[in-house]
Amino acid sequence: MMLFSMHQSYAQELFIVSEPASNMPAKALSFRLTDKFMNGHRHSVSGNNEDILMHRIVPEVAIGLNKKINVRMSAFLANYYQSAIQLEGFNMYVKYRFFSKDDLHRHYRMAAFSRLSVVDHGIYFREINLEGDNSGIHNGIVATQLLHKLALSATVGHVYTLDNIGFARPDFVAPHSLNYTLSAGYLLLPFHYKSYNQPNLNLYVEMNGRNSLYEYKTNIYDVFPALQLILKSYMRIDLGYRYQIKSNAARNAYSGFLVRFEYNIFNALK
Amino acid sequence: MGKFYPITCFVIHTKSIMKYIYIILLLCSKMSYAQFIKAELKASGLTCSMCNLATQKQLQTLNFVDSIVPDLELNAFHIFFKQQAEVDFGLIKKKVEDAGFFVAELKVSYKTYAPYRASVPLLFYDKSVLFIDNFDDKKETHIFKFIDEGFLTSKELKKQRKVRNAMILPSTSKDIPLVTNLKMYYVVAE
Repeated sequence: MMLFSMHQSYAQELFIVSEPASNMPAKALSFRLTDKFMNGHRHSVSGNNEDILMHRIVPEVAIGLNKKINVRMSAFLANYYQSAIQLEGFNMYVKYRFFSKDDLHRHYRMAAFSRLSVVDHGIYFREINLEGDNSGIHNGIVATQLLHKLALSATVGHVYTLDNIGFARPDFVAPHSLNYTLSAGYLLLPFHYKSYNQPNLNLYVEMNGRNSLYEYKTNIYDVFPALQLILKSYMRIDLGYRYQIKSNAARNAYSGFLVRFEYNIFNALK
Repeated sequence: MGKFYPITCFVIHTKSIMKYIYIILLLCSKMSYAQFIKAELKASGLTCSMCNLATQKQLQTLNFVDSIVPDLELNAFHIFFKQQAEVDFGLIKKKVEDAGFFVAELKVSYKTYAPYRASVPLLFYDKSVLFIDNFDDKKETHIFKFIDEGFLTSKELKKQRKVRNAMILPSTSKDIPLVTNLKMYYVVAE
């Protein structure tokens, strides 16, 4: 599952899983609704596992406080831990862009980010996922290089797993882990920009690695291919798939789909 | 009984003469607002229409901007200014940066109308002054390219640094005291 949420700003670096070093514009507001769904099995306290189509629905609001600072707030609603979809937690993400080197059709940027997740259900898996399964703090840096139609980005961060609300972190869950992503995005269409109404089509491939630190030896590697459509230069639709390359940890599901809609309002704040 | 009004008196001594001239200049230059007709702005660091739209929306919030025609292929914006409006080039730069990008090139078109204030190589307008390299004050229409940091790509800035360093106001220039009070931009006439 995805430890990183993603962001908007520049077409081919609007990564699906990770977040680019670039920020959204100052005073902009962004609304996003994501559904991550997969075949999985529900693990309950009573020990009854059942196969279900699991949904995690993530409504999000992001604000460009100024040109350097972005704040994103998300809520997690899911039926992973009970049969009805219900609110399970919140997430707050702050990103600070501290380096920019821009040229025509290219840029290199770096940013530092911090995320706090608070979730209120049980912990049954060794996999650590701050996007709805675990409470925790995630700090890291991200570097993004845009070269005309190609965007490359790398993120590295440290995750400190906290107790969930009403459920202490079990001993088999690592308190400290390393989380990193490598992302590539490519602008497929249009070949030539003529108007704001032209749809953009972007192709993404992202990889996410998670390794627990110290005596815990949990390693998870996922790959995410995705397609993205940008409409009228302010709306966005993502279709993605997560596939586990390798892992030694029990987790909710080994693969899954992602559908996302995003709506941006520029100059929303005065 | 009539009201008692305090008497305001103006004392003009040597030091305040400069200030006095400065105020007059500001008043005169009010007449010359309409002289900036349009700007051609190229932004750097962007390649997609979403970023262009974000930049355009930022620029549209400027009260002196009348309309903007984008050239998405070149990441360029043709910005048309309102008549009688006070054009602030520093704000244009700020808005592009607020959108998350940088100014790669800024060129402004300037037309000489009857009452204007230029004292070659300086062009006074509102609270700012353009320090112009290669200024031909006999021409009616001019295009000025900004060569200050923040208005060029880093590569271009290095190239223009020589030009900028060579631009030194003669120490005898009567305008030097005025310039110290104003925001000065270095530009090259094309």
